Amino acid sequence: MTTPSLGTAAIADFNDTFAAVRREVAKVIVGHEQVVETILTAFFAGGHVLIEGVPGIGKTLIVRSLAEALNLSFSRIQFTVDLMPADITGTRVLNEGADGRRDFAFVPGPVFAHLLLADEINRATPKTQSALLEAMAEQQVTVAGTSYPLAPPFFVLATLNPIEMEGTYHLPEAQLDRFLFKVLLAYPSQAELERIIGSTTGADVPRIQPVLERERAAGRVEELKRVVRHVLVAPQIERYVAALVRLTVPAAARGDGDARGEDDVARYVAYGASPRGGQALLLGGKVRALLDGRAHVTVEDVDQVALAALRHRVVLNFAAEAAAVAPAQIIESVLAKARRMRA
Amino acid sequence: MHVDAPGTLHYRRTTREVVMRDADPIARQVLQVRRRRNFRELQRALFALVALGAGSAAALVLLALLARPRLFAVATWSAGGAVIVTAGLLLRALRRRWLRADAAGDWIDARAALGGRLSTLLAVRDRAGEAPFFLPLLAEENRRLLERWRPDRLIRRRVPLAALASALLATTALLLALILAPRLRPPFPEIVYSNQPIEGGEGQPADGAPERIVVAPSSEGARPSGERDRKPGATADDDDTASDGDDSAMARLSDALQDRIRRDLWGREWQVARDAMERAARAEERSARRAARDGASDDGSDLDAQGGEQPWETAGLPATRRATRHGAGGGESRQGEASETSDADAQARGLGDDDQDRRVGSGVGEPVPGAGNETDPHLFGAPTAVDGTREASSFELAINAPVRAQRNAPKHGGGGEPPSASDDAHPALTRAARQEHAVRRMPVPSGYETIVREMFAHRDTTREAP
Repeated sequence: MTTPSLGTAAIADFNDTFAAVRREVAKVIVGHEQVVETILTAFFAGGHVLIEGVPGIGKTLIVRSLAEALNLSFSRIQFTVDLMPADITGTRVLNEGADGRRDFAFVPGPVFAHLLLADEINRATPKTQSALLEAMAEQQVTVAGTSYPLAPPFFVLATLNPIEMEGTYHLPEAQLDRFLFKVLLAYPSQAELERIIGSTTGADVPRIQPVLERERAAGRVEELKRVVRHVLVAPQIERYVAALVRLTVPAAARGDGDARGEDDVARYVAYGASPRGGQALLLGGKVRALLDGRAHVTVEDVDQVALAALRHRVVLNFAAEAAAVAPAQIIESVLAKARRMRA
Repeated sequence: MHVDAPGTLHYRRTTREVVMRDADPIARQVLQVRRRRNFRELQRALFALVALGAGSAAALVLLALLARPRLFAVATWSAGGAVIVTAGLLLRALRRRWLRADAAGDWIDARAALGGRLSTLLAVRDRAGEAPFFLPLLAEENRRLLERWRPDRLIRRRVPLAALASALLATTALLLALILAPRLRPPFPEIVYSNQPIEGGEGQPADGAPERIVVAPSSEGARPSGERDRKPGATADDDDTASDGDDSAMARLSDALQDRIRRDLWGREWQVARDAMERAARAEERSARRAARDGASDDGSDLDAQGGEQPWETAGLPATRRATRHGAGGGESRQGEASETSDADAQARGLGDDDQDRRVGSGVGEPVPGAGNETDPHLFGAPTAVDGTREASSFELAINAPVRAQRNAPKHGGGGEPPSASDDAHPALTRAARQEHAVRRMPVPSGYETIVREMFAHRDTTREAP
């Protein structure tokens, strides 16, 4: 029978693991604490993360460090324009046996790993990008009519390079929607830059110690992900999340907006968030609740992950581009409006 | 510790009954908080309604006693509308502040800073299916925090003192208004009887609260113009309303309300004075109309045309005019042609309105006294009305033996030619004597009432004849 002490122990266990991984990653990643925490939140929530940042600020290092800390398998795909879907999912090759018989055998691609870094995903063609869709949504790949499940946990961390846009392909909305969070990796500050330079050019390069045992790491991660799913959510929180998502939809915003027409969503948003946005809000909120030592989600938990969960799901129109309106501004106005409605 | 065994949580599930048992004290305390809060809000609304009603009533009473009818009407309907709107707002506020069962958790959470624990527990404990994994922990946390949101901590006072104070204040104001209402009655006007018609311009409007009311014969028709114009069944209030030029139902209602309040709080004396002042106002109107006419007709001839039956009218006089008339040394009361009465007399006079009505009805369209073969049954006036219920300090005796002092006055039954005076011997006295008019009513002290009534009473001969 579950007892309050068991629940408390589960929360403490989650927090301990989370803090240990974050501590190990912080050994090699200077700064970006918030980014690392958001990535870990998405990881334990069972989602994928899209990181946008200029080259050379540690995107790949973050993912690699995470994999080492969790002691999970890691693979990296450098997306280029000539990358083919089979290069990601794997392919069937013709094998000739000792008896001379030939048959096809499936050679898994790099997608078969616990942690997958899709570096500069926007450089591949949409066809290749779409090769990840099934893997991210259903955690399986289908090659030549045969589906191959991916071993859990499966975590995709894709990077986007906001510069050098020539020869890149904008990620389709369906692909973007598969990412639980999108985080922006800012350029390091002066102090962080000094620490990065100092720590990476010396004789003693910091090494990450695995937090989980290799044989049990995947199971432990899945267990922690299930604890996240058990966090309690009151109906009023679900209503709040649904309201948040609806407020990003221009049609709904026009209906609910004030008569003065000052609603930013109605003016600048072309397409709002999908129901996946609501799932992202709630799952992220659950992780935040556990990190706060609670077994239930509050509005504040949802608000904390709202920007990362909705930023890439709000598609702005030309008016927003002309007015240099960023998605973050839209999300902030949506949050403010939701708070007013709730009060 | 490690949480492993992927696929299923290795913790055994708790039964919902256990969780419900643990949550029972929480549910009970939530109910206590709801009851305390709702009882308080109910009191607040009731006290506010009492304050609103009592305050409005106090204002209404004061306005009814002090304000003019038009101002009272405006204030009454404005206050009525404001009261209805405010009452609606109060009820809406009560509905908004009423702590419903589904909102109790959120409210307590916010008040006691429980971080959403209580609202979540209350929301998820009744969900169907297996008890959630973290439900026992949440119930335990809420049980630990019970002390933080005890009913007496969340709602410190059982009674909303501010609302109670406002209700008491308004009720006190209403009681004070009722207690002080008699003192707010305007000074009762002095009543003066005169046998001379009222001259134009002497009357005061009824609301002007004259300090003196002169009761004098009318030189016009047998019935006061107001009564001639009044429809059967109409009341004096109707005339008052009509005088304001607004005879709408709302105006009549406010007038009736003001009249009722004044009558209830000021008693019958005010009603008598009010009627007298109304008559004064009507007399003023008639005086104005008479001044507009050519003025050729003679007062005496008018009297003759009415068969000697004069209607009596009242007119209000301001204090300054009274002083002037008294100061001139020609006060009618001193000459015995008019008499002044006290407040008690006014009551008796009010009761004597019946007599006046009888007079009014006897001169027009009825046989002239003395006509026919038989003796006029009303030769000595109408039968004396003996009313044992009347209690007055004095009464007035009708004298139906008018004496004509004017030479050109025609003779008729009941009248007589006064002895001629020598103009050469007493010219001033003669002039004064000839200007006198008949005295038709004579006030008699109450101590002599029984004797005088017995002596002067005459019975209806037609009823006594075999």
